[in-house]
Parts: sequence; structure tokens; C-alpha cells
Amino acid sequence: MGMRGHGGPRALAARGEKRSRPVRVLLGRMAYYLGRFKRIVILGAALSLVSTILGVLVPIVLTNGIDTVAGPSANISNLLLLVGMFVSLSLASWILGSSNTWILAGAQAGFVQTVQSDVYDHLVSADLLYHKSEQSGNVTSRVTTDTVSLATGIQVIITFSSQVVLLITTFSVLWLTSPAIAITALIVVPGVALIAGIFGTVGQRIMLASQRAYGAVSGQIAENLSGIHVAKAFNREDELAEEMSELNQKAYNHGFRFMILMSAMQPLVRSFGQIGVAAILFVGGTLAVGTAAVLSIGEVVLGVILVNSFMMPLMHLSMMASQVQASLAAMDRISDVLESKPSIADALESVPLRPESDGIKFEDVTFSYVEGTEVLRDATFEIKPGEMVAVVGHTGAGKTTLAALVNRFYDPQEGAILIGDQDLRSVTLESLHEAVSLIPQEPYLFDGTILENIRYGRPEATDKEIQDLCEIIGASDFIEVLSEGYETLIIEDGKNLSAGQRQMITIARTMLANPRILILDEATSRLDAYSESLVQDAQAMLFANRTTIVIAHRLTTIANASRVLVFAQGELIEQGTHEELLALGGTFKTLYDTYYAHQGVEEITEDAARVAEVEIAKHGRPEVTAPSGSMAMSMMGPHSSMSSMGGGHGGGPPGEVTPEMIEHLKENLDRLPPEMQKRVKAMLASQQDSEQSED
Amino acid sequence: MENIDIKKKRTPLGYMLGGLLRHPGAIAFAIIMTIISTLLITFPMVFLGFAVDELEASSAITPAFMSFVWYIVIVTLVYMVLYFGVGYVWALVTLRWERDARQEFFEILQENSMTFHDEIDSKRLLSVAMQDLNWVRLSLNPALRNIVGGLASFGITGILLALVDQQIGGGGLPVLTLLMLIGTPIYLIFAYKYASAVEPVRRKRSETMERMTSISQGVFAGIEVVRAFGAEDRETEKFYETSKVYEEVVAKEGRLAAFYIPALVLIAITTIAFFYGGTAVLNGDMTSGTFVQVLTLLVALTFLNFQLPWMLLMLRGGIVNSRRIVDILNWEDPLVEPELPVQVDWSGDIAFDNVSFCYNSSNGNNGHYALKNLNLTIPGGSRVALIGGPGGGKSTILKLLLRLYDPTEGAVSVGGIDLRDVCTKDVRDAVGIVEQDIFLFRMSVRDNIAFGRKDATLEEVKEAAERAQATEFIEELPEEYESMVGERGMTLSGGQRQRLAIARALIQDPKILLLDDSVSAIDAQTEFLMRKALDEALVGRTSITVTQRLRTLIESDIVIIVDKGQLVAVGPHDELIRTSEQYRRVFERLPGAARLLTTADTPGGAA
Repeated sequence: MGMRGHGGPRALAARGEKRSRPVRVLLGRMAYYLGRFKRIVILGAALSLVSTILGVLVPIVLTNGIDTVAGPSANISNLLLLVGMFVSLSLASWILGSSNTWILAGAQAGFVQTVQSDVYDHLVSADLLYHKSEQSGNVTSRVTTDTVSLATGIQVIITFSSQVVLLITTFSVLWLTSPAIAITALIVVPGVALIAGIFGTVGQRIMLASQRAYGAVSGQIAENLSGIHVAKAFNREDELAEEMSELNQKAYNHGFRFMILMSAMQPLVRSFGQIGVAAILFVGGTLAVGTAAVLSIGEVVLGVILVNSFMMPLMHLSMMASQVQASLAAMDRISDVLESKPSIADALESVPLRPESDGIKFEDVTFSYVEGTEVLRDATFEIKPGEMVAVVGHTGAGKTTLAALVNRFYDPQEGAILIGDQDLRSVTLESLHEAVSLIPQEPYLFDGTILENIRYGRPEATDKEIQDLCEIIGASDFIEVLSEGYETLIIEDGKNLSAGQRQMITIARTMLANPRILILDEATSRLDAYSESLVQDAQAMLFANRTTIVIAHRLTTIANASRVLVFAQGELIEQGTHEELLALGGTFKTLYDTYYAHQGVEEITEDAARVAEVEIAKHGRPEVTAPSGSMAMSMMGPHSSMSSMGGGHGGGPPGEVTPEMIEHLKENLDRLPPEMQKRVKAMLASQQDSEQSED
Repeated sequence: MENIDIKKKRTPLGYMLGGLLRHPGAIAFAIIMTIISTLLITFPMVFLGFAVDELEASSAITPAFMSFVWYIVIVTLVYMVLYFGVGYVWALVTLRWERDARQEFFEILQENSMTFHDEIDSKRLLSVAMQDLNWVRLSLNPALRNIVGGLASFGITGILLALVDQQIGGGGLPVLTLLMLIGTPIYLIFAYKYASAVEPVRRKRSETMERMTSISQGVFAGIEVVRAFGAEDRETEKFYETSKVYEEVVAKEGRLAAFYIPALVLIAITTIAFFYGGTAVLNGDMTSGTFVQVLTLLVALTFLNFQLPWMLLMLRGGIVNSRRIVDILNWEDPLVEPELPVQVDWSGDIAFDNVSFCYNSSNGNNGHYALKNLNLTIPGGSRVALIGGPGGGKSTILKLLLRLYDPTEGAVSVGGIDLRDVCTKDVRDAVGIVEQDIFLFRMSVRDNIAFGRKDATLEEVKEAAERAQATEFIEELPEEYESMVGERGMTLSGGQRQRLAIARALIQDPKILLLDDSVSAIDAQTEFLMRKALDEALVGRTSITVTQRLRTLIESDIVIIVDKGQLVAVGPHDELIRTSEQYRRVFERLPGAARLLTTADTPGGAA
């Protein structure tokens, strides 16, 4: 609710196909990270340089050998000398090359780790809006996948210099042997260009199509696994398998095309190399015979060997662009994170929250996520130490924002929030979060054992303490029947637990933390009647003697609160006890009839239902996440006068007031309770107004 | 059910090679072609030697010399075509294998009972289905393909060098032949050892990556909880430690590629051949051309040093990945289909006869029972409300009735027949469910409703929607019944999802309906529609409803309370409100319920 803002977070989360930053900036950022490994990278580059040059020298020695044994100065000692040189050069090249690989492997892993930690740190402290606007899976891939593809690009860049050196050295040796040979060797260039061209264009396209097709398979598997119980319950495994088979076939078709292209690469490269060999043999042979022979046989063979090693760096370099591109895209996405707005941090002069500071005071608090759309306006109220207060209101009334503000996830634009007499902006976040606990609407559990999840509230708690606590709140009964008791692993946010179990664990976790102040965004998903009563008992223990704000969805909670605060469109409009407010017959009464009354034992009448429908159409339905895109537009379009009243946050699609319904209400106006009559009349009047103003 | 006989124990290696053995003909063809094309690509070296001899002998560009040049070109072109064919066959075989293996993997996952899905994280299943399978395929193609090519190069080089020995003749020791005969096995032994080292490293790498993903995903999904408990530092440290481990493993794996010992073996071979060939030319036993052949053949082998290490690592790594797959495929399902399935009168009584149930655990049966000696009879056609403490056994009861599991002890029967003797398919045709967390597929609204029965017509879908009170909101959707659920903007509220699920169950028309009706907080209008939809759904069948609606409790024929895996109370509302302390507790906290309790209090207060 309300958190899914407009503009701001979406700009952060933008992930188009196009990169949003110039290459220079991205390369600069890579260089910055690489700079932290300056010495190692320089050492590695130097090693690979030397080993490359030694590698080029080896064939020279060999071909010298050919000439030596056949030539006039043929003797065994010259041969031995050359054999010795061959061994030492080969060994040196092997040792240097291996050391280089060894060193760079460490540097590269270190590089990835550095970027990972950096990205992770930024994400952990990023503004909450960033997280609200991105799926956790996407955020995770910033840390895991993107950093790895970044490393691939880094490796390519590191090898760039050695490949260039190899290319230049090889060509120089060829040129020194004979310019004609060197020029002949260039015959492989068009071949390399052809291969690189094919891979850069068609290859990239096929690769992307193939990745998309595999992505579709992966998505389908993920979805079907999470709906496995439904597929089983309705016997529809075969149909799902068939669907999967179609997607799988598509992925195969694309994958096959890509594979064929890859398989073609090797024979192409080698064939061009051999054609180069034939060309050099012909040109070299022509130069090596006759009276004006300028080349020895050995030199011809040298040309033949080198034309093959000439191709390697050429291939590498021409393929570099596409490899670096993927890596630049990753750097771009990572930069989104690194440049994201950090959440609030401690000021220099922050002091710890004093132990005696308790109770919450809002003084003229005004807050908006996006400029111009105030979510909370001039809110002033006080909650005394130990008091339990329920907050109610329609969607977009500002309830969730209230909870976020007390936790200081955001600072208000105007006014102040105090605990005791300390302004939140003047206390350290650590001490604040120690004193204040938030239980979000969806009970959230981490991957880990039940024990670990509860201990999250206070890391130093002993097993015994946790077990005793669970005993007291009545959670131990269900924990002990689980397969491994307290050591049972929770997977996937507790898919192996019931909603009631999840709620009990979050209650235990918070009790263990024992905060002075508690903010509970009551779960909207309710439990069966019996579990509900047990959870309510546990909650009552949690609330006892604790300053508590509950964003209430349950009848029992508002009934038991010492005070109820009623919010409408960001303003506090009514407050008092449940009974007082009901007697008052204002906004609370309508809210009560709409959302809470039917949680009791009474039947609902059709008319009560209709009134509720009208009420909701005005304010937006709860727990409907903000719709986006074309559909929301088309739904809201014809009824803009209605939905604009919802305050623009999480406005609900369905539940519109149809003309028929209004007719029905008009006709039956007399049969409605007096309070509802008033509301309906007011609504009808406001509708007429807006219709007139539109005409 | 055909996968029952498929489900014999698999071995990692067998699984991996199974892909090739499926098409032995094609692979044999590809291997022969690989050898031929390797021969072709090696031949230019031989022609080179002959050309050099020709040059030396005639000291001019002779037609013979030119024909050697042309031979090189022709042989190369033939090689290109042949080797492309080899690549084609390998791609065909291995990619088809990957496709079918993935399909089979998915289908086996789907067939496995819920015990399996409770135990294993679906994130892991997904990464095995996508990544691990892909790595196994990579280990076949390109890794194994290139290794076969590499071995062929060794073999052919060996044979050509042996021919050179023959040429020299003279009864001397066949030095080059011996060199290759001794050198090749040493090379291969070292190469194998080298590749084996990757195995533990690769496994640890996969595991660490999994852990890292799990940590970050957990933190980012629960970022509010992390902040609220001020646990940022703790989480950062946890991640830092894991990423450090990952760094170590990645560095280790990268370092494995360094100091490739087999390269030394090749250097040794080349050195000896260099010296031997050189002396032979000096002594006039060998021509320069032959010497060139020997050297260029061996230099060509050293080019393999660039590729072979990676391919070997990939191949060995593939076995690790293969093991991860096989471990999942070899999972033994405790739920077995009956050999002689029995038909059931589904409108009969449901009976739990001394049922105990215990979820599978890694350390065996440790006495943690989700249900313990439960005895219960539900008359056919009755409306039952089921309530109980968190984890008290409600959902286990529902799952047993769907035969998602079999009881550990005792029996669940319908119409006197043990469900163990009934096919799961038949059970699930007759028993329908509306779960608590409604799961809808990314399909159209129509397909989601028709999920209940595969041959449902649009008319039937509409009728079911009507009865589930869903028509009104469906018709307001942009494309009505064809609107896609879960796409941009198509978010449905809890109440709407619930009604779609009821429509889905209605179209299935089950004889026994299980309903977990603990829905999200809803407004009076939605509540009103829901109650109408539910009334519609419960007509004419046995129903068991887990409910939070107090009205439903009051209107049910029987209320059952379970807690801690045991039956706490059973009976109609009027009776329980008097006799059961636990049942009264349900109403206690409600405003206005005091009246309900006191009126009921009089006769049974002492009980």
C-alpha cells in the first residue's frame, strides 16, 4: 500500500535493453575496481607478456634446428645447444604462463568478491523504496550473476594486452623472416573477419533468442513447482508436462541453432589456418628455391607454424567486443545499485535512545513519498508508555506509512516524531531498532532452522530460553511435532509451515527481542477460528505492558485496544475507544460495518453488503496491489471521478459502482440503517457534483 | 505410471553417458568421422614434409610441389565439411538428450509425492533442472567431443610417427614409436589426475553459490525485518564470510588450470624427438622433410594444451553435476500406487482408523507425530467444520484425504475402502480442494477455472463462475474470461482469487470437497458473496471446511477440533459450546459473544 510510489523508485529500477551510461563511465568503474588489485594485475600482465614472447621464440628455435642439421654448419653440438634452448624456453614459458594463470585466478576471484560485497552493502543499506520496486530475485541476481559476468569481461580486458603483444610479436617475427611471408599470412584476416562478423550479428541474435527460450522453460518449471499441489489435487500433471514439452522443444530449436554455429566455428578456424599454411608454403617455397633464394627451408616452416599462432590472438581480439558488451551491461545494472539512494544513516551528533524513553508522540507530522502527494498530513497524537492503540482506515489512509515512520525507514518532511522526549532524528538507528520492533503484515521467515529464526530477535539467546518462551506462548506444541523439532529447516519462506505457525514464530521472535515499543501490521490473512484464538492469546502476551501500535484487521484487536485512531486520506480524524467511536457514528462506524462487523457471529444482509461495496468503491479495496499498465488505465478511465477519491494509492480496480447499483440503493434507501443512509446520500451527491463539473 | 520401471537406481556416469548410448549408431558414426577428419587435418603436416623434400631435391617449384600445396587445400576443405557433419551429429544427439532429460526430470518431479516437495527446496530443483543439466550436456558437447578429437590426434600422430620409424628402418630402435607409446599413457594419466582434482572444488563451488543466493534472497525479501531488528551488520558479516569462501573456491578452481603437468610430458616428448630427429638428419638417416613432419606434428599436439585442460575439467565437473541430478532422481517415493486398484463409493462415510502420521525426517522416525492415533468417522454427505491449533494436524488430515501422503500407521478409508488401495488419480478426481493460499497459474481466467476439469467448455466455465459469485468481477476484467492472471496489472484481491478457486473446484464437481477457508481480511460485500459461493459449493457432497467464520461453525453438522495431532472435541455446535472448554475459547474474545456463551452455559456448565 502506498509504498509503490511513482517515478522515483522506478527510475532506480530501470532495466532496459539499452545501457543507460556511456561506455567510458562503465569502463572507468571497472578500472576503479581493478585498481584495487593494481600490483597483482601488473605482475600478471608482465608475466603473461614474457611468457607470450618466450612462446613465440620456441618455434624459431625448432626451425633453426631444421636448418642447422641440414645446413653446412651441421654438427651435434649446435643441435644440442638448440635442444637445450628449446627445453629451457618451453619450461620457462610454461612456468611463467602457469604463474600468471595462478595469480590472475586469485585476483579475479578477489575482484568478484570485492564487487559482490560492495553491491551487497549498498543493497542492504539502500532506500526501502528500491527494494519495494524490485523483486528480491532480481536484486539477488545483481549480487550473484551480474558480478560473475562482470568478471568474465574483466578477464577479457586483462588478456587484451597479452593478446595484442602476441599478435604484434608474431607478425614482427614473420616480417623479419620475410615481408612477403608476413603479407601472405594476412590471408587469414578475411577469414577471421568473416567468423567474427557472423558471430557478432547472427550469433548474438541466436544466442539471445536461445537465452530467452531457456528463460521461458525455467520460468515454467519454477511456476509449476510452486503450484505442484494444485496440479496434483486436480490430476493435471499430464497437461502441464505437455506444455512444458512445447517450451522445451522451442528451447531445443534455438539451442540447436546456436550449437551448430558454435560447432562450425572450430572447423572454420582450423581450415582458414590450413589454407594459410598452403599459401605460405607456396609463397615461401617460391622464395626458397632458385639461385636467388632468400629463404631457408626452416624459415618457410617457421612461417607455417606461426600463421596458425597468428590466428589465435586475432580470433580472441575480434570476439572481445561481444564478450565485453555483456559485461558492460552487467556493470550498468550494478551501477544502478551503487548509485541508488542510501537509506537514512546516523547523524554525527546522534545519541543512543535512553532506556527510560518510552511512548510515542507525533507532532504535526507531514510526509510524502513523492513530492506533492502527501500520504500523512499534520498528524498529531500521543501514545502513552504501555498503551495498546489500534490504527484503522481505508487503503491509502497512511497506516503503513505510520509504521515505517516510527521505525525511521523515512523521515517526515514536516513535524517531528518523538519517543519519550527524544526526536527520532537525534537518536542512533541501532538503539532505535533495539527499542522498536516491527512485525510486517506478511510474516517473514529466513531460510534456516526454526531455532535460528526465533533467535534472530536476540542472537545471544540460549536454546533453553527460546524453548521456554515458546512454551509460554503456546508455540512449542506445534514446533515439537515437526520432523526435526526446533531444528526443522524452514524452506522458501516457510512453505512447509501453516500461516498460523508462521505467525507464531514471528511472535516468538519479537518477544525474544523484547522491544519497548511494538508496531504490528496485523496479518490480513486469517487463520481458522481455533488457531486464531491461540494466536490472539499469544499476541495479548506480546502486547502486555508494551507500547504498541497495531494496524488492525481483526475485530478482536480493535475491541481490545485501549484506543482506536481512525485515519482517512492521511489525516487523523477520529480517536477514542471502540465503544465510544461506534456511538459517535462517524467514519469509524462505516469502517466497522464494512470490514469488521462480519467477523462476529452475525449474518450479513445483502444491503449491508451493498453499502460496503459503495464504501470500498470510494476508497479502494484493501490488499489489492497497485495495478499498473494498460489494464488499470482502461479500468479507471471511465470512472476517474470515483477512483481519484481513493487518494491515488493502490486504488482498486473492481468494485465499481454501477448505475444499476445506484438505482437499487436509491430505491431501498429507506430500508438502510440511518447512518448508512447518510453515507449513501453523501456519496450520491458527490457523484452528481463531479458529473456536472465534467460536463 | 510408466515411470515406475524407469525409476531404477541410476549412477552419475550412467546417467551422463545414457545420453550418448541412446543413439549408439549416431555416436559411433560421429567418432569414426572424428577420426577421419582428425586424420585429414593432420595430413597437411605430412604434405608439408613431402613438399620440403621436393623443394630440397629439385630446388625449383615443380608440379609435384604444387600438387602438395593443392592437396593441403583440398584435404582442408574436405575436413571442413566432414567436421561440420561431426558437430552436427553431436549437437543433434546431445541437445536432444538435454531436452528429453529435462522433460523427464520435470515429469519425475511432478510425479513424486508431496513428501518430496516438502523436503527439497524448489530453488534447488530449479537450478538442477536448468544449470546442472546444462553443465552435464556441456561436458558431453563440447567437452567430450573435443576430448575424443584430442585422443584421435594423439593416436594419429602416434601412427604417423611409427610410419616415420618404418621409413628410417635400419633395424634400429623405433624411437618415435616408443616415445608415443610411453608418452601418451603418461600424458593421459596426468591429465586424468589433473581433472579429478576439480571434483571436490566444483561441488563446493555449487554449494557455496547456492548458499550465497539463499542468504541474499532471504535478506532482500525480508529487508524490513532485517532493519527492524537492526541486523544489517550481522547479515553483512554472514554474507561476507560466505563470499570469502566463494572467492577461495573460485580462485582454487581457476588455479587448477595453471601448472598443467601433462604439458611437461609433451615438452619432454618434443625435446627427445627434436634431438633424435636432428641426429638422424645429421647421420643422413632422415630427410629434412621428414624432420619437418615430426616437428610440426608434435607442435600441433601442443596446441591441444590450450583446450584440453578446460575440456577435461568440464568433463569431470559434469560428473559432479550428474551426481546432483541422480541424487534427486533416485529419491524413493514412500507413496506407491496399488497393483489392483479398487473402486470406491465416494458418497460413503469417511473413516480415520487409528491414524498416525509423521513427516519424513532425515534422522528417521523420531517420534514427532503430526497425527497420533486419530479415530474419526464422518458420515457421507455431512458438512464438517474442522478447526485446530497451528500445526495441530488439520492440514495433515486434508492431505491424507487427497492421498498426497499415506498414513504412517492406521488407515484412512472412504466407504469402507482403504485409500491405499485406490489410485491417486481416482482419489483426486473424487476429492476436490480449495486451499488457503490460492495458487493460480499464469493462464487466462478461463483456463484457471477449467483447470478443475480438462474438457470443460466455456459455457461450463461461465456457469461455475456464476455459482462461485465470480462473474461480476470477471466481466469487468479487460478481456473477461481470456484475461491473463498474473500479468502486468492483473492482480486479483484475496477474495477474488478465493472465488476463482471455488469455481475451479465446482467445475471439478468432486464428491468430497475440502475447503481451507481461512481467507484474507475482506469487506462485508466480498464476505457476503463468499458466503453465497460457499453455500453453493457445499451442496450435495461431503465437505470438510477449515474455517475462521464463526457462522460456518454454527451451521455445520459436525465441528471437529484437533490439536497436537489429537482429537480434542467432536460434535455439533450446540453441544460443543456447552461441553468443550476449547470450543468456548474460540468465541471468548469476540465482542458480543458473551451473550452466546452465557445462554449456552446453563445446562452444561459443569461439564
